[in-house]
Formats: sequence, C-alpha cells, structure tokens
Amino acid sequence: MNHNYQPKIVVFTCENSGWLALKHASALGLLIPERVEFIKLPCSGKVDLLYLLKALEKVDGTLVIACQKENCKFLKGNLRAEQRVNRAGKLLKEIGLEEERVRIVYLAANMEHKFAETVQNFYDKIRELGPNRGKVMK
Amino acid sequence: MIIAERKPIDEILKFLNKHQKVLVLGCGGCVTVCLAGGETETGILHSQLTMARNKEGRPLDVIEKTVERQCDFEYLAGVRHLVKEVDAVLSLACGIGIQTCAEAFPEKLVWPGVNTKFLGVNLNVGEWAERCQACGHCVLDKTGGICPVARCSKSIFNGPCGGSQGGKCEVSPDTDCAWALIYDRLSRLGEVDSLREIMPVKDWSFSRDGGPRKLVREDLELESGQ
Amino acid sequence: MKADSNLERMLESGSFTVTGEIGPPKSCNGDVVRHHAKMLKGCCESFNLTDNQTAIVRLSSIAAGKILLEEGCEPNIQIVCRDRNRIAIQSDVLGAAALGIKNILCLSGDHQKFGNHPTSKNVYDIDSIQLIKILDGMRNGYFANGEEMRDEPPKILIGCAANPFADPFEFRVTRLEKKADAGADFCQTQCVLDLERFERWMEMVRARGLHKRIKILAGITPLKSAKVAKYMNNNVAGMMVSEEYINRLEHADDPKAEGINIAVEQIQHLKNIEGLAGVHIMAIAWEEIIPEICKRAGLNPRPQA
Repeated sequence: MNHNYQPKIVVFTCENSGWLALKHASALGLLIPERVEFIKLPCSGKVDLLYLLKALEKVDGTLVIACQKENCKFLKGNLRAEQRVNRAGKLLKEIGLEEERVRIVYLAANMEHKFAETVQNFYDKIRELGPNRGKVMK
Repeated sequence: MIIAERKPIDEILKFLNKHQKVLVLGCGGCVTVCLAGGETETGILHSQLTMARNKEGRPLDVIEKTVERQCDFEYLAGVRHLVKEVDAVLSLACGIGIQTCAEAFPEKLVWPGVNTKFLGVNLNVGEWAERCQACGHCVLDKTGGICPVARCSKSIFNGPCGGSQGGKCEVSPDTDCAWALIYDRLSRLGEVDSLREIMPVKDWSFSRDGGPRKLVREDLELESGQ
Repeated sequence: MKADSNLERMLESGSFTVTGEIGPPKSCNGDVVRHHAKMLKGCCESFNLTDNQTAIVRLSSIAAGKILLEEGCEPNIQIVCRDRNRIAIQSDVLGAAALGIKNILCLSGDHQKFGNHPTSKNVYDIDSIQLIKILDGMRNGYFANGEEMRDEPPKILIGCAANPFADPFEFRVTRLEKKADAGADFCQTQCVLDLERFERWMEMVRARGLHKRIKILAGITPLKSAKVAKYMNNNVAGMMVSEEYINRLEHADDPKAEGINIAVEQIQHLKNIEGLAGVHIMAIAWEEIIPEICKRAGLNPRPQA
C-alpha cells in the first residue's frame, strides 16, 4: 500500500442528523479527514442510485449518513437510502469493483463523536482498499 | 405496458468489447415506467460501463441520450447526429425500439440493452405481472376480464385443468390459477353459468401464428411510407 | 357401437369395468412394453399408454399401443395437448386408428416445467375439451376445420380425465359435464386417495344425471409407503391423500403390503357406489402388482363381453 495515498470521499448527509452532527463535531474541533466532501440532503431518502454512481466515477468511496432507523422525519427515507446503497454495492460488484466503497450508517444529530469516528473509519477502510480502479480520469 | 429488464452487465460489456465510443440510448416510453431503460437507467448504465472499462484500462467513451419514444422513426431522427459520432448504439428500449433503431440507422451496429419480458401491469413498486399476449383476438368478454391466454400456464380455454388447487397453478405456488380467478369473479357477478358453454378452438391466425402482423388504417393514411 | 372395443363392450354391458395403465420406457426398448403386456394380459379390459407423462420423453404411446395389439392386449392411448397442434394430433389419430387402436384418452398434459425438458416450448393449440370435440367430429367424418372426410372415419372410443380433488370443487362436475357435452364416452378419475371427497363428488355427478351420460372409472393407485403418500398430498397439485391412509402406511410392518390392502379395500368399496362404471388402476412404475390387486379385489378373471 502506498503510504502517501489519500483517498477522496463524498459523504451524503441528512440535514436532520448527519449534517447537524458534522456542525457539532466541527464546533468541538473533532478531527475530520481532509479530502472528504460533505453534501447536505433534505433526507437520506433523496439519495439516488445515480448520485452514488456519479460520485463514484470521481472519488474512491461514498458514504451515506442517515437518521437512525424508525426515526426518519419522512418515515421511510432512510430505508429507501439503504436499498439504494445496497443496489449501488451490487452494481459495483458486478463490474469487479469493491462493494465496500459505498456504505450507509445511521446516527442522530447529537452523536458528533460517533460521526467523527464513522467518517474516520470509512476513510481508513477506503485507504486500505486503495484507489478506485473504476474512477474516470479526464 | 411493455415490461423489460436490463440485460446483465457482463452481456452488455461483451457486446461493446470492440468499441471505443458508444451511444447509450434510453427510451421515454414503457421502459421508463418499468424502470428498465429510461433516463435514470441510461445514466446508471453509463456510469457502470465507464467504470468497468476504466478498470480494465480501456476507457469507453459514452454518450448518453434518452428520446421520447424509440418506436417512432421521427424521434430517432433527432439523434442521427449523435449516432454518426459513435461506433455503435446500445438501445435500452424494448425489442420494438431496438429494431426501430436498427432500421433507422442501417449503417450502425445496434445492441440490445434489455430483455423484453412481457405485456403487463405494475402491481407494486418493483413488481410487474403479465396480462396480455397480444393474441390478436380478445376473449376477455367471455372470461370475466381475466385472460386465459396470457395467465393460464397452458393457455387453455375450458379450464381449470386438474392442476388447480387452492386457487394456485400447478406450475408454481406463487402463480394464481387464471381459471380459478375467472371462476371466482364470474361467480361473484352471478355469471358463472356462462362457463357451461364449451369455448371453441381458437383461431390463432390473428396471433403470431398467422405470420408477422401488420395493421393499416386507411382512414389515417395521407401518404404511404416513412 | 362407436369403436367396438373390448372396453366399450364391457362398459355397455354394465359390468364393473377394469382398466390398467402402462408407462412406456425412456428408451426404444419395446420389450419393456411387451413384457408388461404379457404379464397383464387378460386382467383388464384395456390399458392406458401414457403420452410422455410428466413431460418426460418416452417411447410414444401409439407405438406402445401397437406393441400391445401384437400381444393381444387392448390399448387405450393417451393424447396430451402439450406437444402437438391440431394438425399433428389429427394425423396421429388417423395413424392410430389405421394400426387398429380404438380407445383414445384426451388430456391437457402436465406442464413441461416438471419434465426433463423444462426449456421447451409448449403447444396448447387446443385444450382437452376441444380435443374431445375434435375427436368426436372425426369419428363422425369431419376434420377439425369442418372438412368432410372422403374415406371411412376412424372408429374410436373417446375418454377423458376428471379430477375430483382439484379446485374449485363445485366446478369440477361442471367441467365433466362439458367433457360429456363435447363427446367423451368415458372418464377416468385422478387417483382416489380420499374416499370421502370422492363420494361427495359422485353425489354431485348423480344429482346431474351425468353418470348416465358418461361412464366413470375411479382411479386407483396403490401406495408404496407413507413417504410417497405424504409427498403426493403435499407436493402434487390436484392430489389428496386422507390422513387415515397415511397413518395406516406409517404404522404398517410392511407398507407395500398395506398399500395393496388399501387399494383392494377401496375397489371393494367403490363397487357399491351407485353410478360408478369401474376402476382404472394406475400402479405407477409398479405395473406388476396389477394382477394381484385385481385377483384379490375379485375382479379376475374378467367376464366376457
């Protein structure tokens, strides 16, 4: 493994949980890896298969941070997000890429420590996997 | 509606193996509604193809476009300039759209991106079921609005056969026996006595068995040809 | 007389009629059929020859029928609608009649999904009731398209099947009535392994006077074990096996012998059911047991008709 390798990651966050946890984590000065881009969504259910795949054309990993199960403001948004993440993983696997490059995690707005830890863990995992071989270089 | 399902990616990658640049052409008709080949699915396939070929170090240039309907030549005329640019077209339309593409672009290879499955109904999100076989001579008037040609595993006209049990077909416990459905519905409507009559042998010449079918409405024709 | 077959004469005489069944082999070895014919000769009026039963490729029923004729046994060939269209079926009927075959049983046929060629295309140009009607037309000198035959029409006795154990139960008798209307002369039922339901069905048959229009033979299948009985009950669509029989087979020291006992008892019981013309013994892959069952049930020797 190349020790200097720094993966690029996109995190889709629900504005009712992940996004707020990010704000709290930043306020507390919790460490968040550098090359991670956060995107705010009105609900994790807004995540579309296409969002995940288009992101993966450009980055090494995609994480969705959704509200805890049975706690979605729109009732089933987080469950829909889960189905799409699973499907995206399958589509990656079909073409010989690692399905672990796309993942979903559930947490609440007040779980900033878990948030920082989750992002770090995912980052480490992607770093371990190495660069996304399907990435489109242009 | 026509129900289709996207072909496995391995099969599509094999079709496109020798090409460097392709047009992935979606259709805004039935395949959009059944989530097999509309704008979204075109985008998804675009992504998958690009990443798959990138992984192999043999990038594939993909142009993506979805037209209103691929079963009408006039909509295909609008993408002729794109077709000129590519090695081949991958059509995500049903079998009809794919063939119309092949006919509209005689100088270009056109590959099928979906398997056209059946004429059916949307039962639930992500769930479709066959309802019609386009046999060309509708008998729904005699069968309570439930088609024995499409929905009976044996397409029999004087059912149910001896394999009907508990309302299910012998072929699979997940399949409703069409004749049990017909019987139940006509019973509820007080019309079950109509099933006493023997339905005569079917004239299959209206179906595919009469050769490829064609319909001409002279009242609508102003000038012939395309 | 429509066909002047053994079977027809016996049915017309009013004597309790017995038919058997022989499954042709999955090979061209005609000696297998010949062996069964020699063994079973004389114990039944006629023998059904299955037409690629359960959608498994076997020696053809017409060819097997010819072998039976050579051995002095009377064949009753089955024709299913799964594999042939109206052109092929009519041609086969003419061919069978030319070979001297006089009894034909009309069936829809098991779906090919259960057979050894599940990827094949089925035909179902016509269904079993339409097939009966076509055969009835043929023996009256007309092809299915209405064209009159220029030569002698085939002389055939037309049989059909009925399944009192399939659903919807109330409609089963209506369906038999449709088969009688279409021209069927006799009917063999699915194997009776639930006497109570069969008797309820026969009651409905009598209530409509159907037993006077079509001869009904009850299907008899000796069971080899409780396992087979349970399998048939749970996994074969349109089959019912009563708890009583399953229990008896389960507790028997010799389940095969018990299976034969049950079959014999059933026949003796069925003899007394009003409107029943006889029994059809389907000893699936156990043809050699037919003579013993017939003997013990007091059916042999057969009377002359």
